[in-house]
Amino acid sequence: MSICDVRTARSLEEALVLTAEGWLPLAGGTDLVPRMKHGLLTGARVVIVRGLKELHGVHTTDTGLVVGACTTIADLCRSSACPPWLGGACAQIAGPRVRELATVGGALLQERRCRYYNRPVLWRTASGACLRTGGDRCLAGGDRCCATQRSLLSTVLVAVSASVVISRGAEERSVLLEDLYGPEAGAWRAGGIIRSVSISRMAEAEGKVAVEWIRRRASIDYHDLVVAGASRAGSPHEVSVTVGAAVPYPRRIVLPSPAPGGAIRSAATLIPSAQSGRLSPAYLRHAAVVLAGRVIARVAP
Amino acid sequence: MSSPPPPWPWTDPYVADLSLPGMVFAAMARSTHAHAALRSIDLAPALATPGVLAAVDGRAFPLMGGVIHSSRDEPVLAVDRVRYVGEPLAAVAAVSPEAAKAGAASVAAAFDPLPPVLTMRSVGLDVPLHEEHPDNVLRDVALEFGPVDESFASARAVFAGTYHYGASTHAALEPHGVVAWWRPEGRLWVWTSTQCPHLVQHGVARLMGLEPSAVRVITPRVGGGFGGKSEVFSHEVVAARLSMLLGRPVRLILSREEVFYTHRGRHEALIDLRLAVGAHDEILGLDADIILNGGAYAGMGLVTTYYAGQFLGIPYRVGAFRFRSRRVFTNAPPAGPKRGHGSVQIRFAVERLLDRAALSLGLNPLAWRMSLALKSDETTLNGLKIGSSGFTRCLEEIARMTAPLQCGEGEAIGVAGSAYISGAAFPIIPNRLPHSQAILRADRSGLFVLTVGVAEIGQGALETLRTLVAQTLGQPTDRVLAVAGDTDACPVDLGSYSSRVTLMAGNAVIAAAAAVRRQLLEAAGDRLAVAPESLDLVPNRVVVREDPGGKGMSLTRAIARAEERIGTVIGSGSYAPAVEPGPYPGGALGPSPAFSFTAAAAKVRFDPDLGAVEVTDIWIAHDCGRAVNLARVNAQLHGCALMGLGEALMEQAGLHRGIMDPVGMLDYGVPTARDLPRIHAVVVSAADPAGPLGAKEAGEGPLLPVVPAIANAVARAAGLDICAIPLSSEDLVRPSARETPLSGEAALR
Amino acid sequence: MANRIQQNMVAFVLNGRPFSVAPDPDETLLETLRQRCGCADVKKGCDEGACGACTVAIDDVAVPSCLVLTVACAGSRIVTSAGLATDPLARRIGAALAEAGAVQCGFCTAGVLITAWSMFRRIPSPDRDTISRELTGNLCRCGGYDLMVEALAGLG
Repeated sequence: MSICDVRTARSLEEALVLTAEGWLPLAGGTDLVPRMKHGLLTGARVVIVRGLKELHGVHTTDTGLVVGACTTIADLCRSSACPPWLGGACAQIAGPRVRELATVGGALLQERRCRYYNRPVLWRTASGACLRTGGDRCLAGGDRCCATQRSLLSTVLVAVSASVVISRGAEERSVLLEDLYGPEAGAWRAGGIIRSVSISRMAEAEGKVAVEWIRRRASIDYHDLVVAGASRAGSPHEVSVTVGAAVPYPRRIVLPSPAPGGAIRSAATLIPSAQSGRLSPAYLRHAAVVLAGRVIARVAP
Repeated sequence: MSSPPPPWPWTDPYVADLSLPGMVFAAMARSTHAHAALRSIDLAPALATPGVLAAVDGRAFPLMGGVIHSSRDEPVLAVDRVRYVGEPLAAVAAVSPEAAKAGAASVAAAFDPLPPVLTMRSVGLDVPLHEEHPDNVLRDVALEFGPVDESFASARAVFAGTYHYGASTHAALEPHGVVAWWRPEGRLWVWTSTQCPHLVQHGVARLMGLEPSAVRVITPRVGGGFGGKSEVFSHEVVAARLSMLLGRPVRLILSREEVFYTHRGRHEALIDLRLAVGAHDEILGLDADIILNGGAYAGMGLVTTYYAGQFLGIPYRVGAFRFRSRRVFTNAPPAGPKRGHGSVQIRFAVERLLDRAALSLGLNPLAWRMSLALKSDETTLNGLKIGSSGFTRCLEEIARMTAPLQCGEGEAIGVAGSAYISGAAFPIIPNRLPHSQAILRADRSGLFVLTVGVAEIGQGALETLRTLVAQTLGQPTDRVLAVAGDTDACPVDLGSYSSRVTLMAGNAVIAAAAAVRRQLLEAAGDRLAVAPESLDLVPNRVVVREDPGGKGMSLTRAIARAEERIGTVIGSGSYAPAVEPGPYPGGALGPSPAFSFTAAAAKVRFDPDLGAVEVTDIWIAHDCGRAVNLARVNAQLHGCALMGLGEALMEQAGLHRGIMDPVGMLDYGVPTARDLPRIHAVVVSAADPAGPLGAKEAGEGPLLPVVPAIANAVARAAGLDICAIPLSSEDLVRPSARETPLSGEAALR
Repeated sequence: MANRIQQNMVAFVLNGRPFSVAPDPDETLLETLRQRCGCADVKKGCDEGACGACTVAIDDVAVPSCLVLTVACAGSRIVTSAGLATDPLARRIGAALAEAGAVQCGFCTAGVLITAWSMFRRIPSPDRDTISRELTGNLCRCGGYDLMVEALAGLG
């Protein structure tokens, strides 16, 4: 049985007790349900957190924008508090039907994807087990998992140095989203429930954000590569480039000025050399450099 | 009194919506090996699964399946060998779909893997898939028409290219499925999502060891086919067998993953092509070597093999041509007919090479094609009689629409032309029987009931046939009802494939309607004491042509008079093409009663730094002889434009590590509502004497030039030779760009 | 104590009627609607939320029912295309689609209807750009997008 028990949490505390015992939180289900259908869950216990009031709401505060984790992508786009650069980016996520289900928290914690992993049972049986399904090697080559988080939202929010309030068991932390994607935070990503996302005023009002991507179709498809550029006024003026979707988790690089070329090219090397999607790593690295140049041109002072 | 609300047009049941008393559910077990000996199969675990009622494996089906008599190589369920991942192994019937799926998953099969043949280039090097084809080639066809070598020797210019066309699939929105019911009186009723009910009737009967008279096939509403539902499938046969075992209706609906394994999609093709151009810009010769990747079984592949070469020249006049066409076996799901069957790949190659030649020779691509265009009443070297050709006018329309346009930086327009059959002149099973039959009955209520074997698959076939009947009878179309797609109730029609329905069934229904018209006018004339030749049928009345306001009678009165006179007012009609095969082996594959013609153009915007292509516009001008139903023809033009766009840019369904990939609609790139460019569609009418009211096909032909038009546009915009479909950013990105530092540095200085 | 769903029963309102079902934990709303509730008007096209054929409205929001677990639908108001057979807006949408020739094989149409109905209730006069964006979640292999957009644009 892929899912053997489901409960609806009446409070965040209840949900946190269960997730500490290994229950999986369910918000929109747009990541979990397809994985369930592909036979990637066995004996899972699921706790529904979608209705928890404390995880909803989009507010503007003194310090910036706060978005409840169970806000759907579509509701975020429609919210009057959502700045145009964020609404425009969010409108590119998935497709319009899925955006009505998918939540901000779910998007940020979605599992990394790979063409050998996100496949039905028969296909994966024919293909063989990989590192995440009980095998001893990555089917794309090598001995490290090359799956990437194909999330445009994650990339854009890392680019503006968003932070999240995340709870795990009895603990609650406020962390930079980029740190939540760091190698030490695996347990938090796996077992935590994001409560809210904060984007500081500085990122949205005083700076500029630009996003470029590679994507096969105009809708529905996961992005193959997302590059977001952000500039922040100040002394010194800071320009950063964030690479996502083609890397395990989004990485933000503050660019040295002058001559950022080396930093951009090193950002491209974050792209794994094993191919987990439809495009080759060589092409993605090339495209990352191209897109970085374009976003920098758009956000430069 | 209020009029009834407008109809809710989509509430007819599709096969997955059918529910019968006592119905049970079936699921299939499938191979996880691309190539293996099937050592044993054990149904016991399946039968022990709670809820499972019956199970069958290959031993239940001693006869081989396969739609073409001379290439029946496909077992209903694998017996001693599996030849592709996803090949059906067994089927399980249970009280619920979940129990059936669990039962199927527990079928135990033991395999001894064999080396797989994974690419069509490995011809003859691996373990052959079929003993009777030790070199892994289903058919090796070589035909030559005219003095090819001389034409190349004497040419002013010779151009050559090698082209690779990738596999794709139909991805009809409705998955395949069947409800089979072995009924108490000892007949089998089969509801199935199919394009070819009579083919399924005969195929299921044969494979079940039954007489065709014991099998009735009914098409419920069908959610698209595009060629993917035009064969007899394992799921149809196994559901019948399970129903026979249980005496209960059995419903088996394929999952989307299973639809991908069932495949029957576009053959991957490798084409070596040469073009010889003469002193007056004429095509002196064409020479093609084509290798088709047929997958594990023959299916409809013999036809594909011939079509790949037989349509090499059309829509152009060619001095000589030669082709060698080989269809090879690989351990992949069988390829089959997809819209444009076999001619799409070769069209891409020819139109690309023509465009390269045009650039090299300084010729305007549209004007050159106009000078080469086949005209009405010509016959091609391989015996294709062109009864009518509007190709020049199609090109003129494209020229008119595109000539005033300006292309900006990185933009270009590409053009292409094509022709296609309006039905194959000779049936799959050789015989001289009619290809389509129709019965029309005048009902006492004033309605006309048309009975045809045609399968409506969303193309509007029934509406078109009703319109032809209505026009023959001088009545509004809504006075004509259609009863269709039921092999008990309806006479034979070969099916909705090969773009044959408008022409063939159309001619049959007009003949039936003409017979009814005669009966009505004779009865009316008799009553009115007027010669029937002076009478006319107009909406709801019979009138004297010269004096419509004078003597006459109501239509229902005329029907009643006719019933009094002759008993039953019924007319029948049939159609068999009056076409001669080409006088050479294989000459029956290619000829058609009529050919449609199409010209297309595409405008693209190319980003060289990323190798990215955006199609901003597609123009299609299609000669369908006469648009019986203009809205439906227009819808086909739009649908073909979109399918061509998908095939050129975003669709790919082929083997990856020996497994069909992708196997879902998230990963398979069917264009969305925001992927569509501006589509400008124009209908051209070069009426064909063989067509009903001059009509020719519009269902497949318009797809053919779209892919090469896009490719030609990209080639011009990018300054690259395009030799592969789908277009790939990786191939198109500027090679030098991969190494150079880019604009980021410049921006920050 | 965590709220355990009472005997696994899930109650919702479907097309105006109250329903109570005992779904399996991994059962999707699409499966429940088609197999337990008799809603053959909701179609299964891909079962992974990509094609939109299974689109239903949950609390007025058009979503792919194949991605929704029925256990998460307690208290929801669910509407399928059959449930809109007498709804004036849905009738106008259906008539417009049919008249424009945008109903070909018809398999995508029920899902398109729900998408359009939900859109018009939020946006009374959508422009073509908005309409085509809203429709990207409903695949049509027959290629009728242009016809759909024209039909719906004429209704605003």
